[in-house]
Amino acid sequence: MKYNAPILDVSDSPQRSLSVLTTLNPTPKLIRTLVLVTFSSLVLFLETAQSQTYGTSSHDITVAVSTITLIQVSSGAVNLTIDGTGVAAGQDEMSTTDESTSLQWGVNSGNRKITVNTNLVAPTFVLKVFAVSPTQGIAAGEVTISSADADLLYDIGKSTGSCSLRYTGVAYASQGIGSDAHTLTFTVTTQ
Amino acid sequence: MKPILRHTAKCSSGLFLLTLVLGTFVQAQEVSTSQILTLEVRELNKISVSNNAVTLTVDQASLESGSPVPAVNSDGLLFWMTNGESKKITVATNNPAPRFLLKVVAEEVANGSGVSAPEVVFNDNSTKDLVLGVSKTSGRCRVRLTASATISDGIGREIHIITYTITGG
Repeated sequence: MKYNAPILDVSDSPQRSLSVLTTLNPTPKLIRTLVLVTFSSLVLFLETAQSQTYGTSSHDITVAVSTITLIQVSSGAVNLTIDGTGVAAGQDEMSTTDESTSLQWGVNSGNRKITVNTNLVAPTFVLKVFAVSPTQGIAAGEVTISSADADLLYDIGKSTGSCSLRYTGVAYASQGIGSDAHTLTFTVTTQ
Repeated sequence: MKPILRHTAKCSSGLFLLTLVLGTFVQAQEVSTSQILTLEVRELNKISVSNNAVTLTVDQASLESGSPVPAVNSDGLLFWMTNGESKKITVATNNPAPRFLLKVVAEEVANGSGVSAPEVVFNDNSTKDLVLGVSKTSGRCRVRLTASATISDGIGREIHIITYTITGG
C-alpha cells in the first residue's frame, strides 16, 4: 500500500503551504507550535549572524606611578657676613640677612612637609631661616637652625613649589669673632 | 581552573605583593638636598656719644675762694660695642693748647663693660685713656665734662672737638 504523505516544500508558494496545512487539518495547538518554532529559529539565525566574530585577543595595561619626591636649592653655597653694617654702638646683638637663594620641590604624594637641620652640633652663632612667600604650603615661621630637624614648611603635598630662603645670622659682642660652616639639609618628609 | 589561569593568578598575586612592598618602601623614603652656609663674624667696634654739642659756661665765682666755680655737664652718654678683645676707649681734643681747663671722666660704667680711667685733663691734644678693659662687650657710661678757669685766665671762648675712640688696649 502506498502512503501519500503530504510534502511541505519550502519552495512552494505560501498559498500552496496553506493548502497543505489545510489538507493536514492541523489543530490550533499544532499551528501555535509551528509558529513558535519558526520564530525561534529565525531569532537564533539573526542573532548568530549579527554577533559572528573571527577571533579575540586582549592584554592588561597597568600604569603605575610611584612616589616621586624632588627637592633642591638654587645654589649650593651661601656666605653670610656680619661686618658691622647696621650695627649700633651700645647694642650687644649684631645680625645680617641673606635672601639670595631659593628652595624648589616637587611631590606627588600628600601629607608632606619640609624640614631643615645643620650638621653643626654646637654652632657659635645663631642662624635662622625663614621660607619666604612659598608658592605651595605654609611657612612654619622663622626657624632657629640646629642639628635637630625643624619644620620649615607644612602641607606641601602633591605640588611643585618654591620659596625664597631668608637666612639671618645673629652674633653677640660677647661671642667674639669667628665663623660657622654649616651644611644645611632640607628634607621632604611625612608630616 | 585551567593551568594557565592558575599560573596567571599566581603571578598577579605575587606582582601585587611586590608592588605593595615597594610602594611602602618608596613612600617611607625621605628626599633631601643640602646647602653649605658659612656665617662669618668679623671684628666690630662701634662707639657713639649721645649729645653732639655741649656748652660749658663758667659764669659764677665762689665767695669763699674768690675763684670761678667750675661748669659741669653730665648729660652725655657714651655707648660702645666690640666683639674684639683687649680694647680701651680713649679721648682727645683737637685743641693743642687750651686756655681754660677742661676735664672729662667716665662715670657709671656699665657692669662688665670696662673700667673707668682717672679723670682726664685736656692740657694738649694728645690721646688719653677714658675707659679700660673693654673686651667682647657692649657698654655705656655717663660722660662728665668739667670746665674751669682762674681769674688770671680772663674771659673768652674755646671750642673743642672731643673725639672718643675704641682702640686696641
